[in-house]
Parts: sequence; C-alpha cells; structure tokens
Amino acid sequence: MCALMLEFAKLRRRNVWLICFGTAALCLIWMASSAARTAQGSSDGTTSLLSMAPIVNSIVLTLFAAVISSQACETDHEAQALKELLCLQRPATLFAAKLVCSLTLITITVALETGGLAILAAYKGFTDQLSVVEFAAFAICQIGPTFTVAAVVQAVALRWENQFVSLALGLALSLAGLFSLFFPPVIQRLVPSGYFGLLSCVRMSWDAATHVTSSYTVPFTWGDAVLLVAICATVIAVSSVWFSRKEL
Amino acid sequence: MTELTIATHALTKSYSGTRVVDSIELRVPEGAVYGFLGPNGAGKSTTMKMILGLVHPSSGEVDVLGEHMGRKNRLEVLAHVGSLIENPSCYRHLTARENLDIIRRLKGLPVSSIDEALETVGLADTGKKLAGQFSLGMKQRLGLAAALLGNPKLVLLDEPTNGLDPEGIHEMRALVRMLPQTHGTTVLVSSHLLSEVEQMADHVGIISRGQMVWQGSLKELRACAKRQLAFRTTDDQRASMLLGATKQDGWLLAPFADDVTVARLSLALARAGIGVVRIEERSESIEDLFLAFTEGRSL
Repeated sequence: MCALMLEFAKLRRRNVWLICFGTAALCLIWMASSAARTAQGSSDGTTSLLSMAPIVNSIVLTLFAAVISSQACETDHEAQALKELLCLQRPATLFAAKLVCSLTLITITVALETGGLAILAAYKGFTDQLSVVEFAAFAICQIGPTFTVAAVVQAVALRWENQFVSLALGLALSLAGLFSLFFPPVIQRLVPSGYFGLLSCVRMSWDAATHVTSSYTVPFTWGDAVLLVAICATVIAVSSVWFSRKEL
Repeated sequence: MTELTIATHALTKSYSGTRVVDSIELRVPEGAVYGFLGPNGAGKSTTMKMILGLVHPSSGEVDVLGEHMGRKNRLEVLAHVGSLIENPSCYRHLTARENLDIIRRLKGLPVSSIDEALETVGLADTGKKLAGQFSLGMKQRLGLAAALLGNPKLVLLDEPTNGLDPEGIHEMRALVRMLPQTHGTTVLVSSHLLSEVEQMADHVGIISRGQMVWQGSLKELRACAKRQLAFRTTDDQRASMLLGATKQDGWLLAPFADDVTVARLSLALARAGIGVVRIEERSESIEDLFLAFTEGRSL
C-alpha cells in the first residue's frame, strides 16, 4: 500500500486525474452522439449504446492505458530515480506498485464511463435498463483489456527510457484493436485491445436487405476471459522477472 | 584492528568476456572518507553499483556494515546506506521536500528527518520551488540530501562534484569532509580527480583498468613518494661522479639523504674545489604516483 501511495505521490502535478476525467468524458461524448440518434424511450437504446463501447474503448481506453502506464514509468526514468529506489525497495514491489497504480486509474475511468452511460440511458428513458450487476460486468469487461494493454506498455516503458516507443506501441495496439473488431474472433484474440469486442455481450448485426443495424445480446464468453487473464498474467510475470534482473 | 565498513572479496564483473572490474579487494575503514580514484572508465561506478546490488557481480562477494550482502538481506543492509550514483535523482515536478518525502517514506523515517537533511545541504529555504527550477548545484545537493536522509552509517557518492561550479565543488567537498565528524558516517567517494580526493579523503584506493592498483591511507600514499636531492654546482661532471648522481634538466639528482649526510656531501664537494650553487629536496608529487600506478609504471 505504501508503494502504491508513493506512485501517486510521484505523479503529483502530472495531471493524471485530468487525463482520467478527459478520457471518460471523451468516451461518453462519443457514445452520447450515437445515443442522440436513438429515439427517446427506445426499447433497445441501452443495448445499442453498449454495442458502441468496443469500438470507442478499443481506441480511447487503449490509448489512455498507454499514456498512464508510460507516464508512471517515465516519472522514474526522467528523475533517474530507479537506482535510488531499487536500493530501498524490491524491483517486484516497484513493478507491482506501478501496475496497481495504472489499474486504479483505469478502474476509476471505466467507473466514470459506466456511470455516465447509466445516467445517459436513464436520461434518454431507454426501457431496456440494465441492472447494477450488468453494468458492473460491463465495467469489468472494459477494465480487463485496458489493464492488459497497460501491462504490455509498462513492460516496454520500463525497458526503454524514451517513452516514444511505449506510446507508439499504445497507438499501434489502439489501431490494431479497432481493425481487429472487423475480423474473425481468432484474429481479435491476438490483440489485447481486440478483447473489448470479444468480451462484449452485445453484438451488432446489419441486415443487407433492410439496411438496418440491430443489436443483440450473446452469452458471456468465459473462454476469451480466461485467455485474456492468461495473456495478462504471462505478460506481467515475464516483464516482472525481466525487471527484477535488470542491471542499472 | 579497524572495523571495515565495506570489504569486497575478489569482486569481478565481466561484460561479454571483458573484465571491467577484476578481483577488487576494496577495504573501507569505519569512519573514513575513502577516495576511490581512477581514470574515466576504470570501473569505479560499476564497483559501487555492485556494492549496492544494482549490478550483479560475475564473481566475488561484498560485505557491507559487517554483513555479507545477499539477495535476501540486501534491502535490510541498504536501509543504513545512502547513495548518489552517477546523477542525482530528482523529480523535476516536485519540490525538494516532496522529493525527499518519497525516500523518507521508503526508509520509514520521521518527517523531521527531511528538515534535518535539507538543513545539512543548505536547501532548507527552497519552499515551493520545483526541483526542475533548481540549478545543477542545487540538484546535486538535493541528491546528497536524499543520500543523507536518516543519517545512514555509510554513504556512497559517485563523482559528486561533476558539473558543479567552483563554489559548488568547494561546498560539496566541505560537506563530505565533515560527515564522519558530524554524523559518524563512513563515506566512499569516487573521483577521477586526484586533487579532489586529496582534499576530501583520508584513505585512497586507486583503480585502473578494473584492477585495484593501490590502497591505503593518504599518509601512506604520500610516504610512497620518491624523494631525491637536486644539486647545481660549478662543475657538474666531477660532482656527479663524487655524488653518484645523474644529470637531468640541468640538475644533478642524487638519492635522498639526511641532514648530516648532506652536510658531508657539500663539504666533500668544496674540498674537491667544486662550488655548490644550490641544493634542493625534491619529492615526487602524488600526481606522479597516481600516474605511475594507473600507467603500470614502477615507483
């Protein structure tokens, strides 16, 4: 807990909270623009809103994860503080603290986004209101891929002092996540940000005859969730071991 | 026998088969300011990093504060050690106090320790000024304050005067010199400047190409200096035969001798009809010794 608090202390005056609120606001504005086209009191308004989430989040949340993860590492690189810190704390503790710091910021941002969606759905009077549990499940499905991206970016950000590499990776993952949504699931499974689509319980279908797009729900894909957890755990384990062995 | 604060045993580091530190036997006595002297690239920083566990030795062992350093007890031992390696660490977007608070919390020290450290290095009045606005000298002092936080028993300083202006260098040297007296701290300070080590340290270790070529007190180093007598006479050719001296730069250089012998020699020269114009005592400078050690020449 002390190590986590120190990570937040290091990020003081780094505008991370502004980045969190800005990201949540951007996601909501994007989805609200879509909701504006849905009729007031629509019976599938909320489902339609959630169907937009994988597209929006694969771009915005992936970039957000890259930015905060990179920033958490850049603070120590820029201050040339790793040599000093690693004389006082274990590399694994520092690594974990940075990861948990990113997770906390991601959770807060996704919570803001989810809360905003619930308010938006209520404001529009959509009749397919979701329960708190369903909204929580939605939030968890957004946190998972975002956190995995953060873990991947952190591994790179700790490896190279120049944060251009980690931010470029974040941008690449963001675009790869977006484009993977238009490919079969097997391709989506190869990209961490592709899991926004795989874990979504709402899918879209387009009727070529009527030119109408409709949303429908599917059961939660536990297999993909387990696969994402496995990928995330592997990335964390490998990069943590590498960081522990790093010589400064 | 003096207690050793740092003792390394055949400490070695190789990169791609090249030994950058070769079987170093560092002996830093308790309460000393130990000057770790060597040219750039001699292996000083790597040795210091190995002492701190930031670089893993290829072979050899390190004892710090009487404890054998291993992976398990490394942090426990280093809790009593302060360090400033290569560049001072400093979060540019934080104030001096906020910077030190990070180290304080990691060391589990009271808040008052920050004031004490800031007072020691003369940064007590920086207030809300961010470290990014500090001069290089102030950043260096902030780095030293972080190293001194909680009055550690041992402080490792790697070229602490690098990039400082003359005034900053003077202040840093004074700070380092006073640490054993005021805080009872043992200091290992590296430098590639002999004059700097001479002014700060009481013990010296000279490293060259990864090997420790000389180690001991500064007094012992000075005693290693070769002393000679230099004569200038009215007939150097005959005088050199009489004195057993060699001619160099217009002077006759003879082995050093005590006052009585010098008096006898001057009388002998006078009896031989050779006028003594000047007699000087010549001593090899520490710089000559340093160059001899680092270039592998015999003394």
